[in-house]
Amino acid sequence: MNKSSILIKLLFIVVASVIIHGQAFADLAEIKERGELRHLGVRYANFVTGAGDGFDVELVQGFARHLGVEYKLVYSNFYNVIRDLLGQDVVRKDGQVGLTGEYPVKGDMIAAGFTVLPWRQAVLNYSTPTFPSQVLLVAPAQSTTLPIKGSENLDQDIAETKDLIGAQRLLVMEKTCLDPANYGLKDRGINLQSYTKSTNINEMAPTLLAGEADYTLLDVPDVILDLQKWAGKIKVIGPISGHQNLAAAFPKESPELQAEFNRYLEQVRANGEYDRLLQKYYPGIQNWFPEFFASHLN
Amino acid sequence: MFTLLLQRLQARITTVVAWFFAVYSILIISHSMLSWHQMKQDSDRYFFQEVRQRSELLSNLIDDFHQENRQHALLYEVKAYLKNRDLGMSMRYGLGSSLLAVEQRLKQHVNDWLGAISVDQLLYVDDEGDVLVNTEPATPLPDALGRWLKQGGNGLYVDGEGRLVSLQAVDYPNNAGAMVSIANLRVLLSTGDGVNKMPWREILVVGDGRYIGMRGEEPLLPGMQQAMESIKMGEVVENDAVVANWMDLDKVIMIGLPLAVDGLRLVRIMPRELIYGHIPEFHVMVVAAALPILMLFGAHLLDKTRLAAEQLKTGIALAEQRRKSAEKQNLALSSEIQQRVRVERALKTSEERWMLAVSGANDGIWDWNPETGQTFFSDRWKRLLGFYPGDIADHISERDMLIHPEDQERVSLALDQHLQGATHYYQCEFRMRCKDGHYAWVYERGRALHDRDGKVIRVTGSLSDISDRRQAEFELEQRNAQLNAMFDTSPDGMVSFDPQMAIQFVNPAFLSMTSLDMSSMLGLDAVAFSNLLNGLCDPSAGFIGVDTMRQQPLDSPSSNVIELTSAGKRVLEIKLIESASASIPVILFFRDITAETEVDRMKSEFVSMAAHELRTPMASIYGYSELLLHSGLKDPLQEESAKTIYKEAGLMASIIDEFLDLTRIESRKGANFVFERVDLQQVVEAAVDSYPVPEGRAAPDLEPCAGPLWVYADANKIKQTLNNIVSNAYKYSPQGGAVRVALLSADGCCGFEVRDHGIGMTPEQLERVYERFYRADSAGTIPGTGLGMSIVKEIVDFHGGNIRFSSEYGKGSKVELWLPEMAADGAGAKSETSVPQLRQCLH
Repeated sequence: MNKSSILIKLLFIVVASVIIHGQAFADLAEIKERGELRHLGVRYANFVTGAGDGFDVELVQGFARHLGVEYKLVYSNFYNVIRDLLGQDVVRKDGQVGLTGEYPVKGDMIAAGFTVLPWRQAVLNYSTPTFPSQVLLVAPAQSTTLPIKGSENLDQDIAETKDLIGAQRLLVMEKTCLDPANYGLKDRGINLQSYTKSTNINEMAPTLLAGEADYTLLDVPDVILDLQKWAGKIKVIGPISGHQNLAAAFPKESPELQAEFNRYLEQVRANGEYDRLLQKYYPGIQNWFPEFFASHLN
Repeated sequence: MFTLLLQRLQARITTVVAWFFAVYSILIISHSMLSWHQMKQDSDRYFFQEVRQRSELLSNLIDDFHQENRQHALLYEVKAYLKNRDLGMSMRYGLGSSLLAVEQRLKQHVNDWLGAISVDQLLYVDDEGDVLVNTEPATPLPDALGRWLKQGGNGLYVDGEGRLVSLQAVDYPNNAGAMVSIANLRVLLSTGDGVNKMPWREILVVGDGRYIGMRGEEPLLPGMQQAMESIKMGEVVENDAVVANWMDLDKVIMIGLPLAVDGLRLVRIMPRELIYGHIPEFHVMVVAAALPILMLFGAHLLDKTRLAAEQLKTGIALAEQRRKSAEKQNLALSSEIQQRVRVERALKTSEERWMLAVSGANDGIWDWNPETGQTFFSDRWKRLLGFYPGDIADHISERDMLIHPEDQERVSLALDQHLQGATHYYQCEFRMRCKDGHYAWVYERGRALHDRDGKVIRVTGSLSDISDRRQAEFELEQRNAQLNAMFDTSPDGMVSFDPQMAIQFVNPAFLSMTSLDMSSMLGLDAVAFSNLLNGLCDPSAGFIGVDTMRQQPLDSPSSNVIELTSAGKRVLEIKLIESASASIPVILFFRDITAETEVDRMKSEFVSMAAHELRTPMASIYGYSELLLHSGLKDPLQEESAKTIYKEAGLMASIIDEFLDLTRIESRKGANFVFERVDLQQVVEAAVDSYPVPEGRAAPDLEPCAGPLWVYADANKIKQTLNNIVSNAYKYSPQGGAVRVALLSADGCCGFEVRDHGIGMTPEQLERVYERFYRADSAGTIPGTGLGMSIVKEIVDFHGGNIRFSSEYGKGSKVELWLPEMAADGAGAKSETSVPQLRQCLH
């Protein structure tokens, strides 16, 4: 390597660092100064519909107005959304969570029906929960597997549901809330079919109906819509997870932005805007998770 | 001719003009009345059309409401839920979200509803009526929801709250349930004010007569339900008082038309003034029509009066001339007429009085003309025989035919004798045949009137019905015959007295018993009869007299046993009966008991003789057994046997002694008693002192008395009674206890009482205490003969005294013995009257 090439490389590193730092995550002051809030959204259920609206889209739009800045929706997917927020990839190995690589930071916060998971909490800050969820096992209507009866004991229901899978094909999506590692589904002899054609969870049900798997994992917001959309074609077998929370995610370096979002969230819950969004995008969800809405609204 | 016609018309010009006016007016008014009817029909038709359009509009709205609900049954969310349910998903995981989607969609429909009838509540229910989705959970569901679902589901109903309910079955296989839409019917109703602010209203009448107004369910006024039910579909109803009162109006017009729901009717109620206000009242039309007729009638009267006045004027002049000529004739006639009037009036008055008397009389009246046979029979005469006035002709032969054939000769004879002057009056009792064929007894009287020549010109009389009297007489004769037979054949003698207590009747049996004759008996008074009968008796058993028997108390049988000696020995028992009859106040009955008395005497003699004969050998057994005991028997068995013989022989000797004593008292009837004036206190003290007190018992306690108690008694017998009573007191108190004796004095009587604290007696035992050989100790552990109290009773009876025995089982007994007390000077000695006095003081 000659000096000129070394200089060129150093120059590139400097320039890249400048560029990277210039794209780095920003806290509340920087965003206000910039005059724009970048919302990282993933097309998923009715949170981010892809048509420019959705529960999380309208929620963050309101937050931008709250801050007095412009709103910008930056589309991402569940594989890259953390990288797009932090500028680094998440690595999970042997139970350890780490960051690696350097990438452009494309947004200031994630809000896309984003499940609060322990490994994510290791690298992200979550707002107060914005939505409840649960991961369910779904099968085609013609499946010989019968739905469980359901009981008051959720752990028992989960165990019963998992046992029904046996060695059949289960459609999952890694690095998302449908990652089988989150729910102890690996190493159980299940024929796991990782969906990789798309990063859109909405595609899971059509894939199941196409006969590419015997079961699929879906979370409640998606199930609510799919049971209407493919009524009579799919059926919920039972729960795979306990109750989960969805929330907006922030870089750990943006605590003020996170705190301001929490204040905003309290405000919209108090003034009824939050309820309006629920009724619009997920009507009846309050009755599915009454405990969640009772505890977070009071 | 034309001129004549004109003259006649001229004379009647008023009537002609009135006729012309009347015809003209009637034509106009008849046309007006036709118009009136036409206007009323038009008003009704307009009212009907308006309400019909209104009912059609409401029916369309209701139908739209029902059609809209049909869309609910086709909702995609409902189908999604049903499909998911069929896949077996649990409500907790998946199926619940499907129902939530249905609920949200239904709520969205409620908010977005554009129909005229606003939906208050939407429900999705399963086939059992269980609610799956309810947009208003706090609002109660129709009570009949389940019943409607079972009847088929689809349809429109009105529930008990007056709400419109649409049911639409969900078209999905297998128990898909139904969609239910509920709306408020009141929004359909209108109301308002018409001319002069007169209110009109609409109400909805449900099938059972309930009605729904603008303010909801109105209070049901009395009669309102009947008023609503009386409205026939499409028919205008005018002036129902209940409804008018409800709307605070004088008169109302109503019409009802059906709506799209079974049993639901729209009723519009309008003030009558609003519908018919522009039409004059019918009675005004009638009055207007009547006026020309009245005017015509008035004009006719006026013309007629005027013409009559002219004719009258001419007639008056002519009449004046005739009057003067007739006046003279009238004066003569007037006098004659007045005279005749007075005579006729007097005759009429007399006739009226006669007819009044005839009609008011209880007897039938007849009036016979012997010359013609013509006879007047009053209505009463005919009714007495059961005939109607028209049944009997006015001729004497009618009466003769009714007389009983067996009586005709007797009746004719009596009547002839009177007509010939042999009797002052004619009277006869005989039988006449009544209309129904039976014969009634009648009493006919009459009197003949003669002319100056002595010829009978008239016979007048009366007829009375005496059937009842004759029947009563017949029955009385029968009864007398029966009574006479009974008296004559009775074996007992009877003597009855009249109210003056003179003998009225004596039967043959009495005469046979006493050998007296009837003639000497009848008319005797009670005292003479008593003396006569007493003279026939043995002095020891004489007749005590009628008056004495009557004075004996009513609760005691008034009897007296006499012994006749005059006609051979004969014993008669006499009983006196005081009758309630005023004519026969007292009757004496005599029963011959000679044979019974002889049998009793022979029985007593036999018993006495038998007892005497037993007494001698029993004394030997008793004595020798005593001797054996004192001779020192060494064998214990022999000694025990001797003791038993001695004890039982002693008891048997006591029985024989007491039995002899009792028969002696009975047979001698107290003749061996030595009555004298004694101090009862001394007698009792002596008896108590000498009483052999049983071993181990205390002597009787005697309570002292303040002074002497004089009685007329046999002292020894009184002592015997005390000994017997005290003996019982000791024997029947085996557990010990004091025996107390006390002297008594009260209300002219005196006596003593004995108390113990023994075993006492039950009421049943107490009733039998005087029976011979009866012993309260049925086990036989207490020695005794069972004759002691019988002897006491006999002795006390012969003293004219009384015993009162009271006892309480387990606590003891008390015996009181009462005798008539004598005064200190000896007055009140034993006499027959002392017994009732004693009873009086003891009760």
